[in-house]
Amino acid sequence: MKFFFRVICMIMTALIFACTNDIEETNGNPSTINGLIDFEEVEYFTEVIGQTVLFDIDKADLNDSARYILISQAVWLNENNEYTIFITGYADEQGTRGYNLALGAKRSAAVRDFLILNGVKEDRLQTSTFGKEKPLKICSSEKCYSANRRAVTAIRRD
Amino acid sequence: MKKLFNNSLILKIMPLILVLSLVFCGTFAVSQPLKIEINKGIIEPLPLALPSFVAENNLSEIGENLTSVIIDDLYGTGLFKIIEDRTQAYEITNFNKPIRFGDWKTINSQALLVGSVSSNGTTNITVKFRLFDVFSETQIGNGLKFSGPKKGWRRIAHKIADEVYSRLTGEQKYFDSRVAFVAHKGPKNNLKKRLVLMDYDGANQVFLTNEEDFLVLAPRFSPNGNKLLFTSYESGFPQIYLLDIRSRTKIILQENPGEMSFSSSFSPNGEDIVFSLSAGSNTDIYKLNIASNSRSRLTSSVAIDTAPSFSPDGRKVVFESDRSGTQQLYIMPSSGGNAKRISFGKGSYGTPFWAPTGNLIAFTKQNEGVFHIGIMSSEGLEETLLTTSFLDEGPTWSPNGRVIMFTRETSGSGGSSTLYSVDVTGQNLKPVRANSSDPSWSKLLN
Repeated sequence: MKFFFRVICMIMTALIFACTNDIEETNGNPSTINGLIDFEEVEYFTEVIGQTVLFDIDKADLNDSARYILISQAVWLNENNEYTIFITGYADEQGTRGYNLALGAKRSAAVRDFLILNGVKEDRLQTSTFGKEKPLKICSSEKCYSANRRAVTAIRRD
Repeated sequence: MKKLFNNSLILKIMPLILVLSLVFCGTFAVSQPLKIEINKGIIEPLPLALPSFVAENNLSEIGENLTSVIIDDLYGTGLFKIIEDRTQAYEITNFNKPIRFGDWKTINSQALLVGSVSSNGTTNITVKFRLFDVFSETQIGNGLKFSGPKKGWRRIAHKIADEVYSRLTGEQKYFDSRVAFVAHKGPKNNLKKRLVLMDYDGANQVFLTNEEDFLVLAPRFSPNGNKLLFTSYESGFPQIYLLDIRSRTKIILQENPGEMSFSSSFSPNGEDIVFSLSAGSNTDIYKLNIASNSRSRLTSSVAIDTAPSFSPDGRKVVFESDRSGTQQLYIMPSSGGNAKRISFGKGSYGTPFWAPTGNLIAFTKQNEGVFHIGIMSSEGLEETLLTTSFLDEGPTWSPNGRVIMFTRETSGSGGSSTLYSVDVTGQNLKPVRANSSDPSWSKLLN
């Protein structure tokens, strides 16, 4: 199963970069094409799987696309045990400061609990919240709000 | 413990000893004393003549400054129309000379404040004032004298304005007070935030943290005004710190792995704090005794419980919770236990703050895409919305419960936060300081 997932991930990576990168023709070995990220690399976690999951307004429930990303995160994290994991929850600017800190904490906890359910060891995980501090985007419409209602999984090699 | 800063000049003059003594004796029996009735909503401002204070011994600059601050304080209430006739006929040249009330009647002033500033050659000044009812030609209350260092002239001005305000409105004083808040710098997505103290009118600003320091939020004054609670990210997580303002030393109050704490406020006796604690996905309200470091849990719902505020008698705590599905206000005993919901209007309610008078609770309300600052009785009745904007939040009360200060944030990528104040009647909405948020108004200074 894990092997199957890794193959799928590698194919996904290749497809993503085939679509987004202009690959120059060279006489070199195809395996050295710039941009192809190995599953073991941190960039695979941060760029291919993705660190961020988004939430609905005033919710800390994980929707289907968040679960998909988090399952991929869990597989990667279980393969790469040397990383400590920091999850931070955020909110959009609608709502008071204290409530949004609590909502961010609830969102980071939802991500943590889901990763634990998918096999990540609890002692590797830490959570925090920034509430409505540090928005990613700063317009005052749903386009920005939806990007700001997020939880971000950061990793650090011990 | 950590030393943040050297003591500033401002804090050196904090122990300003203001000697208050009677200058003129006697009481003034007035059949119908001059008084503004300020609970009617829209009122006609009272015409108050305020000639420049008589300045002796080359103190004319301080005299003008004193007069100017007193005018700003009184005019700023929206309750007074200041008559500033600077022509010679209305110049007071001798503080002790009898008042020619006829002159002041002709310019339609109903009250008259005269004052003087003198110095005996030391670094101290003495400021005297007398307040008169022009039409009944009587003095209102006793004349008073304040003595203190020259550098403390602003506090003397606020104290005189407080006396005038209190005598003419019958309300408690509030000008001689300070506000702790968070100053902002930079764009919304990369704000640098610093903890700042200022006089209630924005003067004498003292920065308590540096721009490059950690993110700070939500300062709250201790009842005696000597300490501040605030939330800082110094540990990497939101945690509550206690700062001694004079020594600039701070301690972390709660630091347990996996826990985050915020939204703190003091009990009326200053011995306990209430705050929100997030552990796992749940946020509940806890109480901490500062001296013993003993902690008790006041709520245990699965909902978000936050923004606790003590009643002035210390017996109850009002807080917000989304246990009913939306954020609403609840009151519980300060030892925890059954919480009773008090908000039942449309929309959601947050950041309740019990008035120092005990009879009102200020709050933030969010409804139909806009925010309001509002007040209701402590039983949850008579809800009145005082403001409306894209984002108003976090009310704090003036020491006398007549004025509310809060944060107003404007929308969009160029949006910013400004401190505003509004009278409890909904009148006199005005900006206090730009690029600022999270105000906490002190009690009246000693």
